[in-house]
Amino acid sequence: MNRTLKNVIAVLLVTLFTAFAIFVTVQLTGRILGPTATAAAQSAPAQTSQSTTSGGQLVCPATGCAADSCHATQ
Amino acid sequence: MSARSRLWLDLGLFGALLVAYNPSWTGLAVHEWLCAAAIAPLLLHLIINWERTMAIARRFAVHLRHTPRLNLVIDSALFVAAVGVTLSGFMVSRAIAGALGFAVAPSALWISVHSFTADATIALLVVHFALHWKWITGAARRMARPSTPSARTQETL
Repeated sequence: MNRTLKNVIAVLLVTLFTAFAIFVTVQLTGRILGPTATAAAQSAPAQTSQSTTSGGQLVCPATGCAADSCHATQ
Repeated sequence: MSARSRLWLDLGLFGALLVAYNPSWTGLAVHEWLCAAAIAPLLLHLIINWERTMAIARRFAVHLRHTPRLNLVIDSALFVAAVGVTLSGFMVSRAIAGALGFAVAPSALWISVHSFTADATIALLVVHFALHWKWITGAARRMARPSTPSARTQETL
């Protein structure tokens, strides 16, 4: 097996392993914190001013959904 | 791969990731497809630099100068953040998921992970860029110079 192919396989394996580890960690965290996080999201007032934007992603506090704009839904 | 090609690849990736940082700059669909399109060049960047990174990693615990050690720590953190932002991006995607026929409401946790890893990726990317500034300017200077046969040989090494 030549060196390039070895590097390609190594990079793909490390990437997939990292992605799997992150996926499992987030899913387990979601299971553990799930009810609390959902309750917090639902009890938050649905106001545009309280939506958060980080990494360019707007998050609606009432629903926890990603949005381009956040509307009051009370 | 020549230094010239690597420089264009790296600068293109840097620019694409900065533009993709905020979906409101491009619209959500462009943001998602731009990030998806950046996966292959990112993997290529990793493959090109894999052997050098592994050589540094092997010497990490023994004797290593401060800069390569810092590079390795930053690069590793950037790798994890980039994988995290890509994975969470797929988990919260609407344009790509819609095109593939999935219409799942993204969870608040994955949205938080996507926001956090996006911030971390951009911050680490800027540090990564700064730490490799010497190589970038060197490669740019070599590109600007008229190429000679010996320079071309050097470039491909």
